[in-house]
Amino acid sequence: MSQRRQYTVFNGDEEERSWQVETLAEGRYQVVTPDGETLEVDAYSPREGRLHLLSDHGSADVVFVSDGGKVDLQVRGERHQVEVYNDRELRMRAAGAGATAGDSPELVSPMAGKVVKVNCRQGAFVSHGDPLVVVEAMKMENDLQAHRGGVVESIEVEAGDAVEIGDVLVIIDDGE
Amino acid sequence: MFDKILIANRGEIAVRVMRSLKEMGIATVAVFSEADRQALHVRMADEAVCVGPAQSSQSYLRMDKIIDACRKTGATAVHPGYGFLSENAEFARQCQEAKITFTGPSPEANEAMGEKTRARELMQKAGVPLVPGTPEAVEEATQALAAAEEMGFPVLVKASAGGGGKGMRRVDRAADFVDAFEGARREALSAFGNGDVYVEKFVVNPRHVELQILADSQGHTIHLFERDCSIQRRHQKIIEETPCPVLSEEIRQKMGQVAVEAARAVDYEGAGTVEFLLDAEENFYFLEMNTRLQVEHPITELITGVDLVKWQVRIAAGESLDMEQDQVQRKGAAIECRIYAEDVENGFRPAPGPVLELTAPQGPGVRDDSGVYSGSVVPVHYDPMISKLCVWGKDREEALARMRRAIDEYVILGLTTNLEFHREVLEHPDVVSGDYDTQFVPDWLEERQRPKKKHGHTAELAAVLATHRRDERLQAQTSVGGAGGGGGSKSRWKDLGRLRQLGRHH
Repeated sequence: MSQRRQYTVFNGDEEERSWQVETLAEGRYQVVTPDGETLEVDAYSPREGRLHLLSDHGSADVVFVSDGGKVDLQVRGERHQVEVYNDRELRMRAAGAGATAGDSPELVSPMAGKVVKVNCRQGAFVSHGDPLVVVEAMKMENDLQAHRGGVVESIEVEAGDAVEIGDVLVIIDDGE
Repeated sequence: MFDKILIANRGEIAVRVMRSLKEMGIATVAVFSEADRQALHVRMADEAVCVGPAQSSQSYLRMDKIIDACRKTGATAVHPGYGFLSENAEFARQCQEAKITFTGPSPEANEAMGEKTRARELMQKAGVPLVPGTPEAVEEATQALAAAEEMGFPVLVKASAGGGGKGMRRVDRAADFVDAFEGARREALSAFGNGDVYVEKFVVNPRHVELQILADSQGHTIHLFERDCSIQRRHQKIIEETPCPVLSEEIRQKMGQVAVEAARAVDYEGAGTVEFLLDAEENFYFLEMNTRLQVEHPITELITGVDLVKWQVRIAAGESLDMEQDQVQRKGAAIECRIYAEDVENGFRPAPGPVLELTAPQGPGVRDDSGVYSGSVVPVHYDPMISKLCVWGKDREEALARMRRAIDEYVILGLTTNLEFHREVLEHPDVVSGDYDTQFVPDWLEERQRPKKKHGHTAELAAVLATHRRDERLQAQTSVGGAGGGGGSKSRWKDLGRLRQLGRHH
């Protein structure tokens, strides 16, 4: 009745790692790791978001929250954010892949606060990492740096403006 | 003794104060902003009063609303915690006028120590050693630059009304001075409503060592030893420990005496902290006095067994200290880690958000003073500190090992915290040996490599199994529905979504 399922994992990079799982009995699984190793795992879940794993006497308590394919986990005080997709989800992900955030010309504010100073002019050449805007949040001044090199196409804020997380500060044209 | 006290603060410190009050049999009143309806301190209090919108200037800093809340609830005293109104002499004065006891020093002592230039004058008179600096606030950048060149670089530009590193800049070269000077003035003005700054000599490679003071209204003043707060970044403390690992017993005694004299010079009452810079030759200089409870007070409580909040309240009620200086004993070592909702890998940016999962460490020698719970939110409007994790050990070695164990046990999911950064700091050889100063964190951050994760394989395995279990659960649900048993979802669209997720419908 049980079938072997395949899962694709991304763990911090674009390298695809393939795992296989087959349910042996309630809470018992046979797992094939990306390295081809076969494990038998006893998984116990006291409630959603908690998983305790036993594998060849190795014991690990894991807490997790999942949202779509993204799983946020904590293992022995260490936090991991991994993406896991079953075959169907993987195909949908591949179909939907388009422009990524890094390609955007917009430098957005990662925090809510007040613009204290703008350190660039429209039309200026800027390099990746140049400090462009000073935003004060939690009473500390933060230098927000260019996320890409290029020409400052427009500046969307001025000193004294209140900004929210995600507000566009500066638009940088990288000439592509 | 008071029957009911209002805590004019929020988050972990409001919770910590309430715990002592409850043990003393005193009823507690919380105040909260609209953004803090769900906060732990509100849930814990016997009564709670909303004092305004999220912005602290319209809620936690509104003296009129807080005094009004005392009247409404019949609270006869206010505990201000730290930050907000804790060092505001005007608030202490308004409480006096409203016949409400302010748990803290007199408005006069608050003013004397709050204005740093005045504090320096007073300390000089009392014979407390000081770092060379301009005697008063300087307005003109050129004038300040001249003073800086005379004392020699590096120098510090500091806000007169400052605290917590706000409005403070280190300047190494004359060329950078004017920019830093103006920046500090701007920051001071926005943080404290007062742009006055002064300049002082920067003591190279100092440690930040502070002495805890308790003084009653009958004139007894004692110290409760030191805390080393040198592990800091941009003048914000990250980890504190006691005892200071390099301090000789002779200098410890001397610093204690000087701290007591400093407090006496302003007729101090209540709990306070005298901060010093300690250089490599064990010279120490008065930095400032904080006329309130400190964030890091628990480590003093852990090594002395003295509850500082209870003493604040007793002293405010007119009771006298029940211990002489030589009866204050210390035992073992204690460490505090400040757990922040912040993103270390992205310039330590505040990372407020929902707390989806929280389990604090337990067991021998662990104390977690937290202001959050599973299901709560760290709001964007306030300081993102969520907890103070403290440990006690029979010696420094045990305390360090215990803190690493406690960090491993700490579960917090939903937002990004500096938990793992703490472990990294505690494993650094300079911290293990105790040989660090206030430059340790900034210097180390220059060369720091992002640490390799140790449990990536287990994390992947768990994520895969969690997903597999979800898929099987969905499959079981949809197959029951498909069999016409009526156990499935009522919505065909939901069923379709589930099937799609399983890859069974194309």
